[in-house]
Amino acid sequence: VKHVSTSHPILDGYEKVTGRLAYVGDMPIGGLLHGSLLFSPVAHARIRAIDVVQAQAVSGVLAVFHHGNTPDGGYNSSMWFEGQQALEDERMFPPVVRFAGDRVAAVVAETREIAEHAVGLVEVDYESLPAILDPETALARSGELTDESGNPTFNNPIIDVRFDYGDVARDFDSADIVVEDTIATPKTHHCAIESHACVAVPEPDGRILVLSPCQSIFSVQYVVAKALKTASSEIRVIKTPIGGSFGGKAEPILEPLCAFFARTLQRPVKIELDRTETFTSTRMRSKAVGRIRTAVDRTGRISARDTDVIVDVGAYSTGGEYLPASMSQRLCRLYRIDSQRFRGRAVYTNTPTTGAFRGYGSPQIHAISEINLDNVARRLGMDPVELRLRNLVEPHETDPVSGLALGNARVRECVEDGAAWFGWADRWRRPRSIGRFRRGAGMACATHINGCFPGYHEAATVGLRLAADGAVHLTCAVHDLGCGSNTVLAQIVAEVLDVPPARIVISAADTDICGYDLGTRASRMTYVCGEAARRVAEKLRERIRREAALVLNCAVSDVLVEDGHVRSSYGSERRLPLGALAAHVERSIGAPIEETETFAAVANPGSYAAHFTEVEVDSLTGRVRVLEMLASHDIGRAVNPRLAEGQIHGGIQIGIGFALFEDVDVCPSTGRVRADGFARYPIVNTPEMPTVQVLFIERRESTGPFGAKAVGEIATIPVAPAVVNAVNHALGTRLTELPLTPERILEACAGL
Amino acid sequence: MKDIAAAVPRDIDELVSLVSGASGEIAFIAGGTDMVMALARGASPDLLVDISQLRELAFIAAEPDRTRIGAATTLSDLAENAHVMERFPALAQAAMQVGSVQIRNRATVGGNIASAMPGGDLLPVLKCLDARIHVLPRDGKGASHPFDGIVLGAGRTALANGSLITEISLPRAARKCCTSAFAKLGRRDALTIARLILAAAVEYDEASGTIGSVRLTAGAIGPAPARLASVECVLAGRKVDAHLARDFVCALGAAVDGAIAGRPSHPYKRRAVAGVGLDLLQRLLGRAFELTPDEGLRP
Repeated sequence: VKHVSTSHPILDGYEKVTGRLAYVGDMPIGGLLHGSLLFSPVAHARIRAIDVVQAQAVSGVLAVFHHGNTPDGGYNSSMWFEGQQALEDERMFPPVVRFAGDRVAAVVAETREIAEHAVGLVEVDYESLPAILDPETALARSGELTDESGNPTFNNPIIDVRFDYGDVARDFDSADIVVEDTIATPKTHHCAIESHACVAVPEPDGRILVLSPCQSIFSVQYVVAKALKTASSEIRVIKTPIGGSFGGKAEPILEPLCAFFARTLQRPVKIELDRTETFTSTRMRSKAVGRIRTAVDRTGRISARDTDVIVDVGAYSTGGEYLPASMSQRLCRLYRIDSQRFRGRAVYTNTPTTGAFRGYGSPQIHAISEINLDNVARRLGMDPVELRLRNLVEPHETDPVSGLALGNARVRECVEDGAAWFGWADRWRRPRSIGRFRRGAGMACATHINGCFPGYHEAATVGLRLAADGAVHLTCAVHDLGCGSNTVLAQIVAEVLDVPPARIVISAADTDICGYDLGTRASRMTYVCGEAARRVAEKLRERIRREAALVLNCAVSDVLVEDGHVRSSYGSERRLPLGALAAHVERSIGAPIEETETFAAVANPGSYAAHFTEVEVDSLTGRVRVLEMLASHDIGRAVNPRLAEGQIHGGIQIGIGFALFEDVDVCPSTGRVRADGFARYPIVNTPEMPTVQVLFIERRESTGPFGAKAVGEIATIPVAPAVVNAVNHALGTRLTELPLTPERILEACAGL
Repeated sequence: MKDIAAAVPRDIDELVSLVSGASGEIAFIAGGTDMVMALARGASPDLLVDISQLRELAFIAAEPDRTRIGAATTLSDLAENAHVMERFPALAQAAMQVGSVQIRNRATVGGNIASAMPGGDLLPVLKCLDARIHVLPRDGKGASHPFDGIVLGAGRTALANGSLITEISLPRAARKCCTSAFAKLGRRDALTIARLILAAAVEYDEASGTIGSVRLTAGAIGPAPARLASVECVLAGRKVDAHLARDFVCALGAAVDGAIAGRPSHPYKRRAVAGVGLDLLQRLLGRAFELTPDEGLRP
């Protein structure tokens, strides 16, 4: 291989660091209006009246929007295809606000300053309603999800997922040891550098162009059309460069409003949230509380497991109905367990809405299962690595619930090689310190998916066109979220066609020119879109060979495509640049050399990882320093090792935050987000990052492009349980509530 | 909405004539690390005076009986100044732990005082070192004030509208063996708002291992920095031995009880102050102190 497995520089890196790349908030657009939103200060209330007179009177204000003058169409911002069934419980502006941060009104004005000033003059009379702020309490509000007319009732649970296999009761009865934990994970925020922003532009033909840093143009198109009660073809969506998402921009939030304002006012409209608004009114990771029981025999064989998870999805369901099932799947793909029972319920509360966030339920369920497993190891008096090695799945096993093949699952190598490189055994056996600073070692395993197969139409469509100057134009509704998926696709195409990756030109995703695609989600970019790119590149290569055979006057089988040229394997003196071939074909037959391929995924192998860490706990202040982290990843092939490593560093950064620092801190009495900015919401900065060592286990996955599997989401999944396990190892505590704040740590120490 | 007038005086004289003639609310901006955020949150003075061009306010001058520090001196300059590091290590240490490199390169001494935040890093140190604050009121007749006369805490100062902090002066310690130190606890190491701050200036005779007089202040356990006399008593005149750390930590815990009992942060801070206290002692006396877990966790 020539271009895959090389650390090609990220394609738009230069433009980003020099500031030449324009994000949507910075794009110069003539006649642009600015929208500013008013959010509910209360967790649950009916809006009795809205007085917009003063706001409307401000010079420069064009309109004030609220529930009384905007479409009442229900939608669900997580919908991504025409005809999808989902709880359509959102509106542009609801008459009943359901969380502190819900949208109440918007002012559109000539400048952002005028809009912000005027929105402060909107007066709202709220009739307070009882708020449910706690997921356990929420369960009591049970009943049908919609009334006779199909309107959402906001009853619970949104979904109740159960499965069991094997003889759970018998296996628990006959177990030598049963270890039970209740483990809670917090609501956390994505903290992308770019806050939420969107521009909508009325087109001359009456359509609305939406410029959005999004993860799926077709999801944006569908949700906007639904909210505006118009046809999807009336909405054109172009993906703009994105300043980070991590799932936070997976769902259109501002887009329906922006499009409606632009259509109503027939002027381009921009809405750009500030940091606090992004924290309080967009999306976050759902809170999960899991009660887990694990049964083992004395040798450490896991015979049974029983997991019951309640997921707090907040005020609107969004994609929350998929979360419990997503969590349950992870429990069946990592260890070989004779019998399991699972129940997962997602509930509404009057707290901020949640949605996709790197891992989609995986970080929560792995925190629950992997912290519990360390407590099992402790009860057994067994090394946690040893316990895991006795139970891990082997390559080509089958998920007992879904029946899906796990593929070339190399988690055993992750654990064995990782433990060896990290020097795990010595660190684990070191006697516990009794001084002020106490060190501990911890590890955790994880599994994650590669795409949505066998779910809804897991397919990608990629078009390639060889231009007359030798460039190769790639068309796909691909959304590089900043982690380099464009670069990886370019490397894959470059590998097949033997051209430099820089010659691959990738257009921004555009609903007018791209075939339908799910977008960037579910760790599908490299594995599914990458395979589609590889296949269409193969197809284009064959087309090139056929065209070249006519020019070179040789058999197709004798045409070699190499180094940006075609030549015959006989008589190598005739060597034609690819661009010249394209130019010739365009001149002679008038048709471009182009191919399109739709690839539907045929498998969903597991990606695997094991993370090992050493921490130092200050037993006087409760502060934790993560000193070292070794991340061992079953990645099939690292198409771009440096970018993959970067993904893992970023995953570790988010994971340590999840373990130690981050919690939006919803006030238990008012429902307001207390950590609504970086002053109160500490994230892991460079000084808090440990030394990171990355180990790639590159045993090829036969269904992935050049053997590659996903790494983007799994990078963050094992981090938090590894860190928590290390803190518990250092202190001899049994901390199970994340994040491990200094307060919780000192409290646990005092209770020893 | 109103327009904010802005001005950039080139020297003090121009500043005085500008400010004395202005009406309405006057705000000053130097590094802008607090003021830009205040403006973003809706602060709207009538006149915003940019003092970042007044180079005559950025200086560190060692005089025989005192050290003068210009209000526009950046925290980076303060942290890296050899004279400050040698004579007032607590101040250099505090400046070094404010925000991030980028913030320290812009934030100024005067701004840290004028913001008067409960977790303001320099404040307990300035109080501890008995700093005097020089203020230039609108009439141009500058005068110096004791620290407590200016910093009221919780974001409030006694500065009249249009009054500008121009410099601070630190009296030279009477004895050569005087040293000082600073210790802070936040949620992170860097770019963190202080949850606890301790600063101390002591006379310490290394040869006899004896502490002489002591001034000790705490920050972030009240609206303004506080002198902890009860803790000073424990250290003053004391021979440094194994019991010192335990007695010191106990006194700190009691002082935190006295300051914030009943507050949600109290249970944590009264424990964690032990760690901050030991960090302070180590920096002050140049040796580490270890406590048994019981002493540390349940002082």
